[in-house]
Amino acid sequence: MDVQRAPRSVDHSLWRTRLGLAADRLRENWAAFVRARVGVIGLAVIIFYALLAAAHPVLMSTVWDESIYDPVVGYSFDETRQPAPPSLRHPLGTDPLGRDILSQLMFSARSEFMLGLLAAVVTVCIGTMVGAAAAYFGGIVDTILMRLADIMIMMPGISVLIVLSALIGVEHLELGLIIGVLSGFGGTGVVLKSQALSVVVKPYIQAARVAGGGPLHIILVHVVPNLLPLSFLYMMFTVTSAIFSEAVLSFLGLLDIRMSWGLMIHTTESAGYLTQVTEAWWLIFPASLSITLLCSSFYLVGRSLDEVVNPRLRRA
Amino acid sequence: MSAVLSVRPAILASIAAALAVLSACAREDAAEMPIEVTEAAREAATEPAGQAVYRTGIFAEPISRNYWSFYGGPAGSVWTQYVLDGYATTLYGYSDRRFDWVPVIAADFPTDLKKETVDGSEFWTTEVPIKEGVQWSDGEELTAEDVAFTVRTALDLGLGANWARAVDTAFLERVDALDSHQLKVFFKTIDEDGNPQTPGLSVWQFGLGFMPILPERYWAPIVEEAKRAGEPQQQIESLFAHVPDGEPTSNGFTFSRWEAGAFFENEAASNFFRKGAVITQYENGALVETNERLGQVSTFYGEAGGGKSLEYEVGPHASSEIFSIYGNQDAAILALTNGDVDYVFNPLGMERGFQDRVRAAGDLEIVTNPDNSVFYMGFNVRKPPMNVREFRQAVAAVIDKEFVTQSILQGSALPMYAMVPEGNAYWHNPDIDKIGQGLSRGERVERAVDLLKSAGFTYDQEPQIGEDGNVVSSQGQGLKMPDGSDVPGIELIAPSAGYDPLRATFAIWIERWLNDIGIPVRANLAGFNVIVDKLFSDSVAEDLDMWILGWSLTIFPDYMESYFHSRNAPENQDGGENWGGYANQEFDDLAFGLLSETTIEGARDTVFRLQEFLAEDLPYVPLFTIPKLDSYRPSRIEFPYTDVLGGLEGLNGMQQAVLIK
Amino acid sequence: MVGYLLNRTFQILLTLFVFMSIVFFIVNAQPGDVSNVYALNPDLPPETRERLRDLFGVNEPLWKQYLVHVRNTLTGNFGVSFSNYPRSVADIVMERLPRTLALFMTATVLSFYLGFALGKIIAWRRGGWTEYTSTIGGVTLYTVFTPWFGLMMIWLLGFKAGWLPIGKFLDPELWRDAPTDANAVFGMMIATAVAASVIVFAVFALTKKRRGSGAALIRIGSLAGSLLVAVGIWLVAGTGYLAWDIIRHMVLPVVTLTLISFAGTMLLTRSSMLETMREDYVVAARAKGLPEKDVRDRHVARNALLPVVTSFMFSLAFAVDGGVIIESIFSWPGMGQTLVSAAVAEDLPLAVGAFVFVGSFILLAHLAADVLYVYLDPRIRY
Repeated sequence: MDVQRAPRSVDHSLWRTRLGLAADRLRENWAAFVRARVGVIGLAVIIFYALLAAAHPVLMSTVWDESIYDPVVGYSFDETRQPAPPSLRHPLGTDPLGRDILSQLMFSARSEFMLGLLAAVVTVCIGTMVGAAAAYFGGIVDTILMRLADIMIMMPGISVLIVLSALIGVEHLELGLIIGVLSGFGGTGVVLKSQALSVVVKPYIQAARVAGGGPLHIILVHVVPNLLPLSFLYMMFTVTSAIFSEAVLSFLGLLDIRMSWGLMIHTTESAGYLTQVTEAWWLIFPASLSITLLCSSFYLVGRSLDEVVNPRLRRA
Repeated sequence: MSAVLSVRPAILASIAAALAVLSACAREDAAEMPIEVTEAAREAATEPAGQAVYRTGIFAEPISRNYWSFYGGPAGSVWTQYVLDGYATTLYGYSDRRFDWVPVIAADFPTDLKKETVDGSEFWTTEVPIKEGVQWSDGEELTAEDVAFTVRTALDLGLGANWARAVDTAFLERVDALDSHQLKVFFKTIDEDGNPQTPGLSVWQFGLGFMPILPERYWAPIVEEAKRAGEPQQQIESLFAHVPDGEPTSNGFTFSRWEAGAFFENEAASNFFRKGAVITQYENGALVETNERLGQVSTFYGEAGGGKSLEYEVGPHASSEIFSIYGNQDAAILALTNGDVDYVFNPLGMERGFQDRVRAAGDLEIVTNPDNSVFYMGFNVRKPPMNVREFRQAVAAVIDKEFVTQSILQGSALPMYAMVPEGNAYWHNPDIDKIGQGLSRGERVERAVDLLKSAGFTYDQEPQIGEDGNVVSSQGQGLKMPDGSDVPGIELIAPSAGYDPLRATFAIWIERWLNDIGIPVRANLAGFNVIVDKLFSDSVAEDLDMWILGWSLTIFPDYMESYFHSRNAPENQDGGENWGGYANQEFDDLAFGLLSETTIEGARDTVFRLQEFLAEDLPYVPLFTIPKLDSYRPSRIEFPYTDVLGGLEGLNGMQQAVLIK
Repeated sequence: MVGYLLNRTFQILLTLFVFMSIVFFIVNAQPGDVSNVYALNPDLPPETRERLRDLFGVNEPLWKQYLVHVRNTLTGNFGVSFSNYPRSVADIVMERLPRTLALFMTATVLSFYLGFALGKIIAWRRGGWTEYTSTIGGVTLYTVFTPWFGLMMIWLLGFKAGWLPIGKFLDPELWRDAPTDANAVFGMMIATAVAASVIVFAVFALTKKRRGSGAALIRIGSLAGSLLVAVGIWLVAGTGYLAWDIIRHMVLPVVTLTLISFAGTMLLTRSSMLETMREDYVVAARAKGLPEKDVRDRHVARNALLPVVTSFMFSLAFAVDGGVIIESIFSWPGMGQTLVSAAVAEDLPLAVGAFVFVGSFILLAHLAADVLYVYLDPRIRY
């Protein structure tokens, strides 16, 4: 291990040293991450889907005719019977409404990422603030926030989402916010609080206080940065649950959206092809597998990060 | 796959309510063999038929066994309707397949309405004879007292939903039993404001005549107790809360077992009054019912003679019927193909995937029938530009219903132009204006632009058609209203793909086509609740632009009055269903006339004119209807006929007529 | 310790109250009300709709509805379901509850054992291919798109192979003349399971200190014995064939649930084992030259069990939540399906009732986990 490598030359300025150290730590963490192996597989899958998502607009503006390949209003005029099995024109076939499955799959990948990102960012913002505030102030603030967390944890997540989406119009934005809030005020907040507790007792926090730093300043500048590695880990789990929830709700027909993986399965289901596993496999497997793969990949990456971030799980 | 997908109770409630009328025709198919109704004979009769179980699948739980509650709203689901089909009969009903209006337990048609003064007040009165020998399942006679009791209860407690429709307090004064088999009905001759009125077909023949009859002996004490429960609301609650135990029934089946979440079972009533009756329909229109058990041969609508179009014997031929409850349509269809059940009740319409699965099973038959429903796009005609008739016509012209229904939806839907579906043949007017039908894309756009310009609309730049005449090469720009201002952004609110892919698909294509001709429409795909709530909100007149929804329809099309008469606009009547605020004096007069029309021929004439009117003025653009598909196992069960409006499901699976092999 | 538990109980009751309030306002924040459910009937007069509104009390001001709701919840009276009118919510919950419990208790116990056994192994063989395959396999199943996986199971085992019945929880033809109803059988099944577990648990506790084949014999004997007694009682009662019918229908959903949820326990066991393995006494045990299996099972696993056991209570509670999907897919009319259909039908009382019930269940599990923790971990004394 080369943890304590000295600056390479004396004329390096301080930021360079810092950068070097950060790069070293990153390299070391990366090594630990790679050693956990499963995370790498997860990462590969995530990158694969990210590429798919990125390729969609490119394909749409170059080789794919919009009137045929649009994921929502496209229609394949070449096929006489919809859904059509895979062909050269439609590598994954068409859906019961004559739309290209591959195009839908790629288009939806982007919204899945956006949804995951939104939920994750909301979780981290709320979670770190809740954790830091609870640990820093203690007392009544801590009690209130932790009781709130209890409630959030006890919320039967899927059921809450089902009820909400059945009753109010829910689209990706609302879904991301709800999941972010549930997770941020709930489980993530609690975990980050326990981490923050070990931070607020550090001498430099005391020093900052003595130096007259306001609570907000101390929390933002000194506490929150120390929570970020752990919160990054929880981001991964939030992404998993966001994508999973979206798929389930779309599948149940409860979201007012025009296209997503879950909705693709829903379309298959309402057209009656869901149990025709071998006869109409292209309607069932691409979307279902994508949901499964992306969810488990984020989860695996999260687990592997745990090995890196959590000192007790680190190898000797 | 969840409950959600399979069934939205909201829509089902409406389907149930509308089908309640349809269900009356199912009650046509029932009778009784001339056997001694002793306990021993009953057992002997059921013993050999012990295996004859009508095994069917449903995919949601029935709500209640309480018929008052089922017909009165809270329990009015279509699933409840299926399982309670064998419980209550009516005075009149529809004939098989042709939907002629015929007596059921009435011995004959009623006497003509006549004005009569009783105790100083004037009434329209009519008398109805009741058949002798009609028995409840416990062997007691069904009498005129039972009918009078049922009406009295509905009036006294102020029961709602279908009861309120059957027993219309605006018209009905009371029903008396002159003796055990003679009824006298009293209608009011003036309305609340003192204007003269006549109880038309929808009030009397298709209203009160179709009311289910419940047994007085069983229910009278329960109703009495309910009436002591305090406030009217609590009285109703008390009645609805009763769980029947040993309630006698009159339509062929009695309750046997209900294992919640698993199955519902009814037993055949061996003394059903129509058991063994032979129904014969002749090509000349005559209709004969030979009921040996009652010793009665009834002939309606002409003289028997010539070729027969239908003949069958009423059952129940099954000794019992089991409704297996599945969690969703997939499970039910899987069970059907697997041989667990022989027929699946499917109010949602069977999509192509299910059809493929059923066909692949080999031993199942699929029958396709027209359905009595309309899916439409409505306009808020209070607001410009929707208030301009040519604008609405232009919108209708660019909507290629054939393309969406046949190419995109692959025949899952059928295009529609009139407000009465083609399948409802007697009332459907085939000669209405079908704007845009058969035109190419280019011709449609041209037609629409012409229509808009004729009403004073102008373009900065008109839409351009591509060389082959089928593609809009550049969209119309800067469409201005006759007063010179820009056409504002228009919202088209429609069910999302999650709720109904058919309507969502239509909405998306309409958005595209309207944008082509420069109309700035945006399709807002929303949850069903959101749409319904918008329609029922107080600000519907301001907030609504265009919307897509659907109606389940009744055979007698008086619904056109409910949807389009200006008195039914929400601003004129709380809860009115003319959400678009359509108001046209000429139409109002015609539609109102329909309500007091007392002859079928006169009503038909009015209905035809109403359809012509609507097809031109277009407060709604009818979009499509869905074919009704039923699938069953012919090696196990057989129906006397399968070609009928609304399909087998519309007849509640013909429980009293189905043969079990 | 009593003080601590009292304190926790109070906190949990408070939480329940807040939870209940939040639930009420969430459910009431939605647009539309029940009279709209009947709105699409063309022939429904407005007075009728108004009457329906009165009937369901939706015309009362919100705060009044809330007070009624609080009072009702405290008295266990959640009112009358709209969509199952006029049945009471409590009645419906009571009807569905045993079905959910039977299904999820079985599945949770199975997945717990599977997860714990696998977790033990993969922690011990850290870095081996066993770990990677079972981690990836487990996580994939854990995050699998549940509706699809459920359908695949139905299709494969039920439809193609034809081994197991599809949909529902009993066979109508068999139950037509059954002497009792399904819920009575469910109740008896749960009672049997609980009784058998108590006996087995007691035997295990009594033989805790004993070692060797004698103890194993007693344990296996007690297990077999209680099984035999249970089967005997069922046979005598004459409803054994009904229970068997239910069990047959339970296999498919239970297997599916077990497969999708075991990974949670597995991964937790692994982490817990890895942490425990660093403890001094483990190092000491190894240094003494004890066989690996002994060290693993006796020293590490037993201590690593602690956090896993407490998580068991939560997984049971959350199984009810996750069960929404499984119950829908497998046509299993339990609490999950009830909640979904209530939500979709805008059946406010039933949705609230089912919700509060699931929440209370989870809270109780919290409390049970606390008690268990105090009891199991000698290091914690309050």
